[in-house]
Amino acid sequence: MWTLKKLPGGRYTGTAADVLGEAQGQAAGNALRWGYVLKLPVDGKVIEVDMDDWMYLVDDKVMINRAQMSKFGFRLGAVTLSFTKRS
Amino acid sequence: MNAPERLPLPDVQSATDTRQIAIGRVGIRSIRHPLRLLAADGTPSMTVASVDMYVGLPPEQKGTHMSRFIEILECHGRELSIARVADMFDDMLERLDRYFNGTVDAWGMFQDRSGKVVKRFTVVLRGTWTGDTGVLDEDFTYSDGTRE
Repeated sequence: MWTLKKLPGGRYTGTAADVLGEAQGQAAGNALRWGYVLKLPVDGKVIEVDMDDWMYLVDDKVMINRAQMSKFGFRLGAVTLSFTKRS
Repeated sequence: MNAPERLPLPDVQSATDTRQIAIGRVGIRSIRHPLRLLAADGTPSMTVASVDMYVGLPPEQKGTHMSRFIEILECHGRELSIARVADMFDDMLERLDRYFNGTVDAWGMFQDRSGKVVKRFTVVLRGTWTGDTGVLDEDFTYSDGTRE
């Protein structure tokens, strides 16, 4: 569960149980970029992972989401999502 | 992978305005646009409309994307009714917020650093916006059967 807050200038902040502190979002055109630290459970441990999370609104129904995960600047992996809004 | 490090042009309209002056309305006046008007009984008639499109600007915002006003006008098709006009007003406000107001289905995958897909999942997101605050509830189902 995320709690989001819209700020002036296309900025957003967000909080969630598995996010360290506050996520920062910046919208420009049809893109929204989020930066946050995710508390990721891996093999029974929790590691803090840096997220560079981009959301691209394609049209009113479809959004593409691509997030790069890294730790100390090293790439760990990527998450790709496609979103479809129910009418 | 192709995510630009920074967007190629600075988005001046979305920039913060330090002068702190609210503007009642900004927009485009007298756009001539052909359309079909739907009467209450559903019968269409052809006409050419003269459209004025405005939004109000809060003091902290520098401007608006007027090209999007035209886009909204174009993408609403050829038939206009009172209900469609109301939809258009929503469109003129931020679209990203609106996207997460309601139920969204998502399909995703996680890849490790070598590009290998290590997890696949589906998500159902339920979003509600009240003014400037939104709550987004996520329900994950992983391909291995686990849920979160």
